[in-house]
Amino acid sequence: MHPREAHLRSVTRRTFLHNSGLGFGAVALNQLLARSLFAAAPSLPGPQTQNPRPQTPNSRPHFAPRAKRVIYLHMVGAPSQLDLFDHKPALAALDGQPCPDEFIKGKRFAFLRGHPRIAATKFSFARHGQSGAEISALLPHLAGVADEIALVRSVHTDEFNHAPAQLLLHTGFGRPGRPSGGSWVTYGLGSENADLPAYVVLQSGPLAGAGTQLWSAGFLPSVHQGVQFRTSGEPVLFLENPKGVAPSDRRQVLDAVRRLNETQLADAGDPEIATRIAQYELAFRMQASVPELMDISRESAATLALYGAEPGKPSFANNCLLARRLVERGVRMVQLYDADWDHHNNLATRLPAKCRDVDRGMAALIRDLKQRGLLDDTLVIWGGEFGRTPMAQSDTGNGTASNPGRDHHKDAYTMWLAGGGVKRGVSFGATDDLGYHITENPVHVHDLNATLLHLLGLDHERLTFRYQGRDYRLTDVHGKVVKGLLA
Amino acid sequence: MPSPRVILFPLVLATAAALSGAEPRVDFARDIRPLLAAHCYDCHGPEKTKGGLSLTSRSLAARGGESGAPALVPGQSAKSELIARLTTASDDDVMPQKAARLKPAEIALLSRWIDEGAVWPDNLTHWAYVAPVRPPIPAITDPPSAIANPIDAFVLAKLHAAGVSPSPAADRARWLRRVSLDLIGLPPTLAELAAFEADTTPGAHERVVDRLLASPHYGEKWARPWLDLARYADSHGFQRDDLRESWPYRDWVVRAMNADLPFDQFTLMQIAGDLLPRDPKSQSLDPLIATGFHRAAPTNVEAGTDQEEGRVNQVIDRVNTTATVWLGTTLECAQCHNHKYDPFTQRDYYRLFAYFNSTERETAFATAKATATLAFTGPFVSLPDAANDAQRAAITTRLKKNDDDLAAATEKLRTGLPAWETAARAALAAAPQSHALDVSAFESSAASPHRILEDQSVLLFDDVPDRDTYTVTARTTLAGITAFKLEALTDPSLPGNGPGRGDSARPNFVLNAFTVTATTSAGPAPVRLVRATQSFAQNGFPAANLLDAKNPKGWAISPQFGRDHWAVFELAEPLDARAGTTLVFTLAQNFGSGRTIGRFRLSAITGQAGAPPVPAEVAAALRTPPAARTAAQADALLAHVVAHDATIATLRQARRRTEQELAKLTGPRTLVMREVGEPRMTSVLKRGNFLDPGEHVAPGVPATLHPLAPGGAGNRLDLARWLVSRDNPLVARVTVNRWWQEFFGEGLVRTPEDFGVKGEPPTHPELLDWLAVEFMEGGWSMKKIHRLIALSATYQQSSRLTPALRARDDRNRLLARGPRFRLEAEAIRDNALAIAGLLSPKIGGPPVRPYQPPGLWDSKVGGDRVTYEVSPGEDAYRRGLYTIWKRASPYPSFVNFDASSRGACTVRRSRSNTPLQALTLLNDPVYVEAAAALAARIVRERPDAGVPARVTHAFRLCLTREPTAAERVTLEELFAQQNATHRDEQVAWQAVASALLNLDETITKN
Repeated sequence: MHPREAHLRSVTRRTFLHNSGLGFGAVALNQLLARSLFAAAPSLPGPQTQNPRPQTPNSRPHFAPRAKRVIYLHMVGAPSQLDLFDHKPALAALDGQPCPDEFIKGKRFAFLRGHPRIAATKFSFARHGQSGAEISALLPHLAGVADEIALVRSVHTDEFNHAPAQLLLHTGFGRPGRPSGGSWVTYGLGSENADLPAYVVLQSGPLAGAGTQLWSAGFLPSVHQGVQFRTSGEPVLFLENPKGVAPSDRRQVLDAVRRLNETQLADAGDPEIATRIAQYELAFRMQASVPELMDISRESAATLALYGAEPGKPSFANNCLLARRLVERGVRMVQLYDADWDHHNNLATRLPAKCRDVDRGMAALIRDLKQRGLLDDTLVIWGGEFGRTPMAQSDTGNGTASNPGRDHHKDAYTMWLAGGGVKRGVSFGATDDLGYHITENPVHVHDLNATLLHLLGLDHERLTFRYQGRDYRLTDVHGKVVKGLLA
Repeated sequence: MPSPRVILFPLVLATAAALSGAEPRVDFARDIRPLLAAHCYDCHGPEKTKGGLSLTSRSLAARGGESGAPALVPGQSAKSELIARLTTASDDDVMPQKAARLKPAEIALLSRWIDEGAVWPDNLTHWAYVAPVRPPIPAITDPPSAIANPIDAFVLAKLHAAGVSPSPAADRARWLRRVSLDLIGLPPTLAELAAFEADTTPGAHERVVDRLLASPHYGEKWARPWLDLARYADSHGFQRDDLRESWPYRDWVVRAMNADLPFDQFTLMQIAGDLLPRDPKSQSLDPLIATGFHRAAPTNVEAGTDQEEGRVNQVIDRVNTTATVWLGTTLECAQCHNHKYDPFTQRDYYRLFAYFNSTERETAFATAKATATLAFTGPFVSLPDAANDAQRAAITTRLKKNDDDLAAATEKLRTGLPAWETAARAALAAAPQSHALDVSAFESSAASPHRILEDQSVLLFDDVPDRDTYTVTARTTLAGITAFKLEALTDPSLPGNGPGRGDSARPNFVLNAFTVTATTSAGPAPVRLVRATQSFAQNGFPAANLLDAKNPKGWAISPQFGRDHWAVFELAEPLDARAGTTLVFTLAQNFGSGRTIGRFRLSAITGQAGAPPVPAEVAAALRTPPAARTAAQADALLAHVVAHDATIATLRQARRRTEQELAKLTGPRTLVMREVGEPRMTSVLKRGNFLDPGEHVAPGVPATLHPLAPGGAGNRLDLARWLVSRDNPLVARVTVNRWWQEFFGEGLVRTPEDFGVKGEPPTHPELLDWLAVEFMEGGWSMKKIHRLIALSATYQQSSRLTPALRARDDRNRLLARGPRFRLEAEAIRDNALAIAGLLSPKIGGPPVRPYQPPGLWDSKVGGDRVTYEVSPGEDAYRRGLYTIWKRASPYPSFVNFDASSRGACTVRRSRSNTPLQALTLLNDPVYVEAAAALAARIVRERPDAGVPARVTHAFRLCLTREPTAAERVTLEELFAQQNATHRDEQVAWQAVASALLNLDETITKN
């Protein structure tokens, strides 16, 4: 069977019904109703699809996973690694000097023109934890969990503009049209929760430049798209009943719909109808489960304080707490976006402000996951779509005027990982004295994605989907698992 | 002689495998050629034969290379140099020399193939690359009811062979609904149903199909899949996802399909309409409009983008899309290397690339000064707008007269200049003079990027914040400062030229506070401002508001957008700064919605404030004797006089008003393709990297396929003609297959995007070829093929999936039953609106904005700030085809039903089944409103009927059939329950309507 067809079979549950040897009577339907339809995935293409086995609702990874779920904190706009994680004292000596010629020769920049000047960091660094990780004073809370995280100082990418770099990081391709990593993960593993989507997106600040394509299922069936949970208004678009429709009214309508659909199922025999019936039941359950999930007011005062979360006031901290609630309920992939990290100017004031927005929440997330025993099998990833230059950028382009920032830098930047099978308290990879080039253990964003899938028990070369004549992967034709990061 | 062990062991394995059936014989085309192509052909393939070795045929491989050892000894892998070189430990000898080693499993496969005899068929041409010939129609006559046209003969022949019977015909009502949804995308009306049921004469089905094919909605329905292929959208994509105007292309597709424009013409116009010889008798812009197909490629206009990289990516998109749409071939693999499975080389790829490589650029720096900010540019055509032609001509005449008057008035001023100068010089001593302040620091509270221009104005760019406060520091040593002047200036980089930033239609700003602090050696002190004048003030927003710190309203300039403005603030006491004073200005702009100033300049005024200020350069010119003046000084003087002349001011104002009138009359525009004068050189891009060009290539077509017609110009038109050549083995098959997929849910080739070696073979190869030939020989008529399919008995079958059929053929590969599958996103909404009686039948025009939840567009990094305002009137109820397609934020209910975001060519949407779909149909206000309208319609159209009759009527409106008694009772009970709860019949009927609109059958074509 064609892999795509195999997948569509699993999505529509034909295979399950087929192989369970059941007709479309009450037994099959009831079994279907007990399962998560968001899970509708796990037929991995490959030899086994030649002879598909009955589908199970939950994961069937390629090998034993180290992580069962992922919380991905994306800082939209790209934070400056040189002011947060990659301390370069040598820059101080050269502060304000023209940068070395080789930094600009044959290089392309988004905004820097002419001969830009070196900018040292204005922030102090200190070593933290037993590991002695060097972290900027802008992130005191994160520094407190330094021994839980792996700093990867040697991430690099191919794109130096926001939307293409965001797309490359999320979908493995710098242009629109491909599925996001979260979609690949749920395609590979399905969901562990019968009442919630497998892939949830939370946002603080404006939508990222590349828009909803960052969590689009691309050419994968739309069951794999990220579902945005909104922190104001309806938590999920179209979740709430129209005004004047009470849950009991809705139940009556759904019962009628179900009876009529069952009649149709008996007549037409199309298993798609059975799936439809089950999806309506799931929708009904979501109407209760999602608002309950989004209500953080019942968290203890201590927990709220840990995160700095305030019920009713949307923030990154609230989203971190929601991320924990989501993974607690078995959501496979939680993606947080926090906007306004694109500091081309006024970095000295804007970066500290952004750090205050995220520091407490993300450190709390790690502590909280750990104290609940979730950190061992939850992978947390933090980072932007690229890094920033050691050269200053300002209105004149060469960094001489006031209030400078830094331009986009694709050749070296820092991300961090924690939990789910990743080494703790390590710093991985290194850059040269000026933080410009990688000198040790380069990690391309494809490698990062390969590693993410690996930790989830998925082989990035085998997790493929046949579309328009080609077997696509999250890592395109690249990527290697970064063994040095694995615990 | 090899040891028996070596021989025996594989033999044993092979036997065991054969017995168990686990390992079928190695198939050259499936298993071996892909390996050779992937690992060997770079050096020993069709292009290069390093070491004299070619692995492109069995005999060449058996002959071997310069070493003399045969690469292939059939039956004896151990003696085959091919295997030896793959497995040797010698780094000098091991193959591949320049790439990764083969995996052990791959080497084992090659060995096994050699041991099995190295079967290497001579004629390996894949079926899809051989032009179709019309196959004979199977002579099948039984049962006669199952044969309406030749399609059925092919289908029945296969069914007979498989021992499966076709399904009985669907009842008339179901067929009518099916064929209406398929041909026009709308359900039949009850009147149409009644007419069809009453028409018992022969040819009733034909009459329905012909009516539908003639409907203007036919083109709307069939444009949708084509626009998916064209990745047509109304925005650029990427971060700066601004809206673009290209909908006339979309309307052209609808028109072309309604007119049954032959598919070869349809192709020529879209690929190369700009290069087609112009028909001197025709004024039609259609050939140009049609080139919008490839202008639909996403465009990256994010600031800082490498424009050449962006351009190359667009060309790549065009090559890949062309190959997918017309050749059913995935060419993108050949971007970086020779195709591993299909016979296309990297060189083939860049030869196709060359055809598309010479169109005009589609981005440019936003202004002459910009080094990073980009504008979306590129060729377009303005559409004729006959209704407004006369008015436009009248306005143009008025403009001309206005210009003449202006010239005369200016000339009069020039001749009067000496007299004016005498007076002006006398007044100069006391006249105010303006001195632009050197900005030493600028800060935006919203951190907007800015640049200080040569004239000391500050220009803000990139993302527009809602609110912003500017802090400007300047140092001066002027004596006798009596006022400060703030100029809000236009700039081409600003939306609508500014001076405000927030909105290209209304580039207003609102300045809510203007304060000045002067710091001398004595320390900082606020500067008291006592009087304010301005070039213009919006009603209720004079600059004088700024003198009162408690007045929050401030200064604004609506509706005088798009021109420079100034405000002068007089000081309570003159300021003497000769000792050096640092001035800090604060400009607070808190209105929101980006009503901030995009470019401004601050000046100090010396002399008698209140009088119109004399700019410094004018004062300097006046002090210079006329004979000694530079040309620039003379110009400055005249410009000053002109700028302060009342007559000229009136004339200029009149001109601006007239220009605005004209602008409002501008007809629609649409994006088109146009060649640059000198074609660009094309190179093979190594590993697809545009920074790493290799050998030059000329335009050309893949060597495997049919040749180009001789005598072409080497441009896109050659390519277009080649695509629709009768010799093209792919185009007709690929096209009819996609249509088949629309009717039956799956194509005859179930990988409609891949007719290559790795795609699926057709389920009915003869039928596919017969249809392809029929299509081409029937003048490339889409409607003729659709008519055949729609009238076939195959299509008319019931879609019921009986247990027997499920066991035998659950995927309907034998076509033993009719189609049953969920409607596509747009059709689900169109269907609901039609049932509710809300759907507007209006065809064409600019994209519309139906209701979507608020806020989805308002907050995004990058791009114009566009607030989504629901279209007024019937435009909120148009067909989904016309819904605005913003790539970074597409219409959410369509996304939930698998619509593409149109970022890339889509041959086939997925068809998933999710709880979000249930929530959409239950709660999206569009469907809630449809349910309410349907409820009202039931009552309106059956005013005196009882509940059962109304239920039946509603049921028939939704499903075009009578309910069964049980179905009716279910809905009657729902009505009764709801009526008992709410004591409101409308509410109860709305519940019934909502239930009906949510039925699986309602959103399904069956």
